Amino acid sequence: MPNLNSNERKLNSLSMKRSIFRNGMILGLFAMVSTGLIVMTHLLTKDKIAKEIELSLVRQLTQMVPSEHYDNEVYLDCITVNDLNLLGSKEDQKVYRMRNEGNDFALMITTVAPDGYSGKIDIAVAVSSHGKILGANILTHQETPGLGDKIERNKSDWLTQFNGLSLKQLDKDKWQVKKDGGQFDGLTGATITPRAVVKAIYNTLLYIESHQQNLFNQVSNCSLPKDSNSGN
Amino acid sequence: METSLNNSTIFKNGLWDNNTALVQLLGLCPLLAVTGSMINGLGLGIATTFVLVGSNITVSLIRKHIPKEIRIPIFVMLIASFVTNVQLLMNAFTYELYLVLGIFIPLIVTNCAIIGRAEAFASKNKLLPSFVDGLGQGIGFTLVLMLLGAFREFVGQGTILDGAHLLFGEWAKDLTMHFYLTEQKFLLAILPPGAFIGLGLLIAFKNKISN
Repeated sequence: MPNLNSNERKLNSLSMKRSIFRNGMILGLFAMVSTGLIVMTHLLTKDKIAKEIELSLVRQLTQMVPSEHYDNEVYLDCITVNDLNLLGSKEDQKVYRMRNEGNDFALMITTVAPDGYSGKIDIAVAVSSHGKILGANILTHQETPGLGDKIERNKSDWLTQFNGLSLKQLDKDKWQVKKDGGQFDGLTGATITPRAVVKAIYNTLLYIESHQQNLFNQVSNCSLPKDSNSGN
Repeated sequence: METSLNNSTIFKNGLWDNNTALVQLLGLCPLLAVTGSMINGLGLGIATTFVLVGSNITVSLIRKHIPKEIRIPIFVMLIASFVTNVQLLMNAFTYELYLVLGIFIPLIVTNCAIIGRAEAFASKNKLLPSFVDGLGQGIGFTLVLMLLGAFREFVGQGTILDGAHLLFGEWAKDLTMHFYLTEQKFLLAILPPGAFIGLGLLIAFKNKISN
């Protein structure tokens, strides 16, 4: 310890205090400016982003159901539902309703396969009012690249084998992959992923069957789609 | 301390002599994670270069107003806010691109190469050299990402430029080159261990040429 007299010591701690204070202020200022910038950008882009998400939802929908089959604004006509057993998640799932001249045409419902190989798989299924699958889409997943990720639409057409099927058409024990005695193709090298997806889609059909009228008639209560990326 | 290097030397440093991934060994976390294919590598590369140039410019502009003791937290704040703003703007105005590059943007925050350049270069240099440095380092990083991606893609599934249409649009589907078809992919190359092995080979190769 250098031998400081009390005056010097006082001066030192004073200048120390002053520099801490000064730096604290500068840091605070920077924090405010950078947060302020983010707030500004957020406010400026909020509406545009919400609109883009709507558009992309519609695009996704038209991949499954051609847009000439319905005439309502689908992304404004939707409800949230919740069923841990059949829809695979504690979180609310969404049901978008497609109608044609006021008649119920089809539903698009989001659902979760909780038992994928690496966590949950988010799926959207479009089902006609007669319970027939019009199409399915994988929204997000973390399956093994090169094996399980073939469930994606743009990697293989594995998902298309569900098109046109309904509960009436296929017995309960056929809703499995071929390996387990069902009728669905598996994927080479990935057993768990297809199993999870088949099960999730089957459960979704069960859910829709037992809630059919409710799903179409309930008053729309989720006008803006949630950011599909935020849950990730 | 300002460097007296001219701009072309600074640029060349970024590309080769002081390459982010091969020499400084920075930014390995995102690098190892996404280089499963060449296009993924290119995507992360573009996003990183953009942020690197932006953060270098910003840091260089305000370098004289930052007290030395608190420069690191300030850099962290600047970069985080820059990345967030870029993400929001891309989300709003280039939605298609955002869907493709979006997953890479949060990864950039974990890229210590950005703060590394802010600290080692931009905080000590004028605007133009800082810009050139950001660009050079970014492009150097991008090239390594693409090389590693191409290597893993080729060994793992026998293609190069798979998924190019995600980045460039439908016409780019024809760019994908198939070298051999395989039902059973070589998973070692596609999964993270392949990234470590590939990066090791690249570094060894670079050292061999340099010496």
